[in-house]
Amino acid sequence: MIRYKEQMLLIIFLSFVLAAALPVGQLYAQDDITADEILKTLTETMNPDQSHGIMTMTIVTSTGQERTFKYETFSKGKGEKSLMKYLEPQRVKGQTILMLNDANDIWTYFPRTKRVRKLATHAKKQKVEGSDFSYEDMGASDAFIDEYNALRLKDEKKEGRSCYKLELTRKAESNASYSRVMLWVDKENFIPLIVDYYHGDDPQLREKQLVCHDVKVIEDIPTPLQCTMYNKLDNTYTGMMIIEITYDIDLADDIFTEMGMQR
Amino acid sequence: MRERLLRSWARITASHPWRVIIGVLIVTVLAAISASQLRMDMRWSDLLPMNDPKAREFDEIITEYKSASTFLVVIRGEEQQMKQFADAIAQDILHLKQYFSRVDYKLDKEFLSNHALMLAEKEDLETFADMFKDLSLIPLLTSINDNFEEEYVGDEEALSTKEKENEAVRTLDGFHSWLKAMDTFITDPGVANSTLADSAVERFLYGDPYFISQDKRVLLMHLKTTFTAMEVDKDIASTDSVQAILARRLPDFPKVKAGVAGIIPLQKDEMEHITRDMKFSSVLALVLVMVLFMLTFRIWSTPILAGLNLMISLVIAAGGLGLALGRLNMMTSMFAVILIGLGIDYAIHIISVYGERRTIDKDAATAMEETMVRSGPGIITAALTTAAAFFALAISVTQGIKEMGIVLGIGIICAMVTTMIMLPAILIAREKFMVRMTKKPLKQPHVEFKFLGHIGSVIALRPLIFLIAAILITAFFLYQAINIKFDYNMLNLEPEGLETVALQDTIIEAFDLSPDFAMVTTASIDESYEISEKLKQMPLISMVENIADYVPPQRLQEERITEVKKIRRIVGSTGSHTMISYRNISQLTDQLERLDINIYELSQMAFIGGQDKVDAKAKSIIGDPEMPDARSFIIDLVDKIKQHPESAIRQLNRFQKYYEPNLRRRIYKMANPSPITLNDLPQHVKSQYVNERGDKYLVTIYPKEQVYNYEALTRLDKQLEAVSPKITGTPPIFLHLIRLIGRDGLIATLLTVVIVILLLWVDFRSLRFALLGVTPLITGGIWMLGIMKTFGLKLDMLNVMAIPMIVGIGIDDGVHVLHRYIFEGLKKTPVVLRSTGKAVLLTSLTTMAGFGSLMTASYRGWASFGALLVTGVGACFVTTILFIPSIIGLLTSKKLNNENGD
Repeated sequence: MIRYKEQMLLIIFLSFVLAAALPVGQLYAQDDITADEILKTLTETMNPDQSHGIMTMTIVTSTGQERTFKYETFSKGKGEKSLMKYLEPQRVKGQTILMLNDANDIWTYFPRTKRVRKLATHAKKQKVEGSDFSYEDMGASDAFIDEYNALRLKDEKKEGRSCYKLELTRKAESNASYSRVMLWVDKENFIPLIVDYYHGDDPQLREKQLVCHDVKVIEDIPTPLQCTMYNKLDNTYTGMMIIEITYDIDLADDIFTEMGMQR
Repeated sequence: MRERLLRSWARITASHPWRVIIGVLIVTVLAAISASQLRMDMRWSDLLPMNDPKAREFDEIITEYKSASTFLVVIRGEEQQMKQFADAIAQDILHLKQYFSRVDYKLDKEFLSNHALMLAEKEDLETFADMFKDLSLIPLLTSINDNFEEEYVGDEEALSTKEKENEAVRTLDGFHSWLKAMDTFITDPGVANSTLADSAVERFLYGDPYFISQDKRVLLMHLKTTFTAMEVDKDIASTDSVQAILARRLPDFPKVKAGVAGIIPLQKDEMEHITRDMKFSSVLALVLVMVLFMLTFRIWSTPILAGLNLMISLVIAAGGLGLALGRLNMMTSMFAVILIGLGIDYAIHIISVYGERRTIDKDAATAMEETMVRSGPGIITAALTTAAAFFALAISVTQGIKEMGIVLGIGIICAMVTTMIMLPAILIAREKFMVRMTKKPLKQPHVEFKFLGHIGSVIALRPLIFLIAAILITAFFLYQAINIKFDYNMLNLEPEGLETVALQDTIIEAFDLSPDFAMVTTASIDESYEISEKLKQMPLISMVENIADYVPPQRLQEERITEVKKIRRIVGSTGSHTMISYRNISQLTDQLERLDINIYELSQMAFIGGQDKVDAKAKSIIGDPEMPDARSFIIDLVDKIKQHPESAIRQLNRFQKYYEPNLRRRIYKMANPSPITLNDLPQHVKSQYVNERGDKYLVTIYPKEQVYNYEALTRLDKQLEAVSPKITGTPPIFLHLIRLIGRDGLIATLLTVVIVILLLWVDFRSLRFALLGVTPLITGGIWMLGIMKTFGLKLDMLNVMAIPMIVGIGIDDGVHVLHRYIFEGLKKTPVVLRSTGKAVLLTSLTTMAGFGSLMTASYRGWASFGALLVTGVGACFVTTILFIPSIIGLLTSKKLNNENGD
């Protein structure tokens, strides 16, 4: 259920992005900042402490129809633990997904059958075929730093914002899926506004593009309210929109348990 | 020099008209023999450069693998009737031995029954080993549930590609059949027998044996031909034969519809439509031209003779093409229609001036001499300019455009030379004949277009106003022309409502794959496997067929042997049997309920993941979770067992007694651990993938969706290129062609404009006149595109070729008008327009009639081509009448003012 998994990963990613501005004050708009420093800061900032929100996700199905889901999300431990509970449509209401260990372990709960099933292990390293998202896409868990060499290019404006432009080239020894990644990182808050992913075998073939926009400051934190991953090869997309979000929250650990899923 | 030669020729024709006519007729007979050798190559790949690697690979594949020339029968309707219909027509089709060697519409179980497990993944074999330990109903259902959870819930990679999604649907379908068999044994034991149990085993192991869509609404038959798509006669004959069978059988199956699709029927359809269009358009063009002639000259015999002259020109041109090229392609097939429109022009100029001169000069010979010196230079320059413009297309790398240039260039030269030689002789001979018959001098009716003279007078009076108006109109059309759109959809070129095209959409919708496949050959089985695996990861690819599907690479086979042996050992022993009884019936119902839950959870995840087909199939078994009163087939089965346990136990044991030994025997046979080699393959499978020399292996790649729009085509091409630049087939070739034609078209247009200017410069010995001559052409081209945009028309693959062509055609008007200005003097605008203007208007109308006849073509590409040329020719006439007289008027009045000032 590849699309099932990619949706979870997008949620994790968005959770990371949500707290992107937290530790970047000291680096605010420094022109002499290096590519590695930008990448390091971006990576560090993509790990929010806690968040709770309501979001929608829109996918394109295999028969070309659009389908929108609404769900509630909880995240703790800088993305180490996440839980999402579907609210709409009625058919999936109450269905819950729990992700632990940076989404290496994933469980799902089906309210009608009252069963909790383990879905996957080692999701982070797993290659996701034919999907719009993979864990690696998100640049979480140091993937961008470990797997790629970063080069800072001439700054550019994107989405009307001044951005650092980075080119990440896959290291020779790396097994990363993409040969090249281009990032446009907002100078003000280090949110990656646009990320282009290039085919593993062809550095000129753009496979996917992530676009984050509608950035609002919520509880002093700049937050992109909409993120969309476009698959340029099959012309599909997966889009997410935040309806409500709060960071000022103390989530109990028992939310992120089998019992928490069923609650 | 030119004038002397023309006068001499006029005198010769006047003295010996019959000898000239006989000489030309002898040449015509020889040309007809050569023309009969012309063949029609109607594939898109024929338009690519001769040495293009994609075209070469395509031709090699089509020649070496008959399977690459697809012939499909698409059946739609009610499931049972579709299957019966397919069984019925399969026998009929097999009687057509000269065309078909096989009809594939069912799974070839023979090979699979001996080797299936060697074709399975190692991980799957490990699962099977557990699953097949006890084939009794309860343990088997338990294993299915265990496997089900592991396969579709535990491993999210299971459905990561389209093929695997389809596999999931097939597996669910197998379960569904198995459950239905159980239900029949319980509810209707009278009809439940060993055959039903066998059928359930087969469906469980192989799925539905027919090539039927997952929604059971479309059935596909793949006809293996004894010939390749290159053999056009057989394309047509075989398609006709199959269509006749369908027409004969269909009345017996009222709930079924059927039609043909694939390369071969499409080729036949295209050929038929183009041939029909070509014949109809040619006749229509000829009739229209004749009617125009008669209406204009008010005589009937001369137009018929001019038409005869034209037909002789066409035969001679075709003979020349037979020698020069030996073939016509999709672009050049309409050359006759184009030449009718263009070739008649020369006759019009001669007849028009001859009619004028005959009222002035005392005898036919003198009139012909004067005619030749007045119209001859213009005809020669116009023809050479047009031909040069067409020949310039020959520098194109695209074979289609190159041949188009050569064909039309040769055609124009033939038409001009034939007309210059033959027509004066015909006119003189006609006059002599008529005089001999009527015994009195022949009266030549002379018709003048006085309104053109009036227009000339008005323009000569107010040249500036007309020039400004012309410039403003041109500016508007330029703005429109810049915004004209290109229609990349090749299917929009095909005739409307073509069944072969419509059925492609049916196939895509039903099977998630397009019959317009791509192909590549490899040097080894391992390479085929590697390429296929990469291709399967590409999101626009629905399915990849390759030899490794039947003969896996050696290393994979070695990995699998141990597991296959283990399975054979397990099912080979008598093993344990679990009879169903009161003691364990609850286990059976528990497992059924577990299966219901598993399928429900699968459908929920499919719903969230957007895997609609898996969701739909799951819902057909367990009911729609969104419908509160939906019933689950499995839960209903459980209820039936619980309601009548005694009978259920008896019947299910009976079911088990029938299916268990059969299933065991089949699995044992499938678990054949001998490595599969090419020699184990049935010949029909081998020939599908391996060429006769045995050194190349074909990989066939089916796109997921319709690829005939530029965006989808580009995306698909990028994905194919990322795997191998060698990949060919209709989609890559078409995209390649679009790109080449775009580039060639631009280069050819620029080059022809340059050549035209140079030729005019040489002809007029004045750059100013050359530029003046080219002005109506360039502005006419702008008007043409602007008018198209204004009326919502688009450029496409075929009509885009009209742009360089109009350069060659549209220049004629300006050339004739300027020549007449030179002859009469620059201040004689009314005379020029009244006389040459008449001829130019008439030639424009006849050319438009010729091209206009193409607009009746059912092949929409040709219709749009005709529309663009009609617009272009009309626009060039209007710009000639507007620009040249007004510019000349301005120049002469300025000169006059200067002289007066001096």
